[in-house]
Amino acid sequence: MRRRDEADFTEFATAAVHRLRRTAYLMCGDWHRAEDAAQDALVRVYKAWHRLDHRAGLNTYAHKAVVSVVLDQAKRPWRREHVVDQPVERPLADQAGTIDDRLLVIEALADLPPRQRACVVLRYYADLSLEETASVLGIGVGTVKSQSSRGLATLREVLNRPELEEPLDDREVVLS
Amino acid sequence: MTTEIKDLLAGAADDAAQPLHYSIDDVVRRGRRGLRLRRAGVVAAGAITAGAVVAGVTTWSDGSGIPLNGVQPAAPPATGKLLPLQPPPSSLTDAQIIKRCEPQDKQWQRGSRKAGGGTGSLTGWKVAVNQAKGTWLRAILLSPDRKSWAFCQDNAGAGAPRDNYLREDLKWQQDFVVWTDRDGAEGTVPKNVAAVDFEVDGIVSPATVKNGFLLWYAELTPSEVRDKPIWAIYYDANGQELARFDSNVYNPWEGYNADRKPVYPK
Repeated sequence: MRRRDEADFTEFATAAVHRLRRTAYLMCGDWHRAEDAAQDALVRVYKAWHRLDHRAGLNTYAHKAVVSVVLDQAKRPWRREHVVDQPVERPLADQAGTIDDRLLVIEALADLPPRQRACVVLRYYADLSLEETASVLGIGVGTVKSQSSRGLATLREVLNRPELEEPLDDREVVLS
Repeated sequence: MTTEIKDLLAGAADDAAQPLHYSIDDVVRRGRRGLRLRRAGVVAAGAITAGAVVAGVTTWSDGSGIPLNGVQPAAPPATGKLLPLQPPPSSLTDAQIIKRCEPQDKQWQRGSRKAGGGTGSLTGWKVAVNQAKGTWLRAILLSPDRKSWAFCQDNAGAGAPRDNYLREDLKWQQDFVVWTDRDGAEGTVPKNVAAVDFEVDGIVSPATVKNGFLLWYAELTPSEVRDKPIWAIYYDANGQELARFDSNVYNPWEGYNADRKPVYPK
């Protein structure tokens, strides 16, 4: 990579690393894994730098990489979640706010199927468009809408937050 | 309307108390190395290894298949990375090691990833095996009922290796199955195993084996030796190979990870 390109990459990476790490954290619920995922994703961006569209494609590619890394991590046998004999005691949503809401949200996200979780995180946290989310996940726009909607419905129920609503453009073509 | 969900997610991902443990320079260095490796290609990589062999630095392997206890590789595998000497045990007491691991254990238990490792504290746990160097240590801890284990990597300083933690039920451990991550490997060994070597690109590096567990430290990111096996080779007390297992999750040639089986000598 040329020096000028490397300077551009450094600028992009500096601006993106925290957001990518937070996105990964919402996907996996573990700061260590999230940190690894953000770094691995940025290395992929570095390697692909010369062939990426720097005006429009960097953010999407970086998110594609971080989602891919997180999902790859989850497939590794030593990281795989196992069904335990005793179900983990789950804290209940608390209107009084005495329980840490942040952990409740992470736990609720972890209960979503991976694709739903990815749709919710990319749409509502990473702020990707429907088309960008579809591109990142390699699925259709309609599927993004339905998966986001279902994920949000589950979060609404689990977190006891009926006010959570999806945007209007996500509501059409929601499969039952 | 979406403000609430966005606020909720933004709040959950608040990383104000989570400092980044690497710099963008580290990322750039990894990227450069990756590009160099890509350019070098398999042929050049093989040539580097062959050159190292010709240069006579391959004292770590005598070709007999007998484990090379204590003999360490000095030359790099094709990745260009050194397989370092295995660090000695920590000078800390078991209690001091466990105390250093407790914060990570608490965080693990707060996380959503559980694997039946139990929910209690580390009180009464034993240190089965450990390695330490400078500001960091890595240890395998065993629960009093010997049903759960924990892998703890703790670095009180900056840089690599970074903190890492896993706690799970021992029943998930399979005989002769172990996986390598960026800092090496850790896991159980069957009772009849006396030594375990890791082999990368023909270079052999012995793991530390004690109390039914192994620790192998290597500054080796498996994705950088993509498509190549990182063999974990298990030997009995007579030096006979009992089994070997490709611990590289990025190598598709030894079977899909979930289905990958140890290879037993015929």
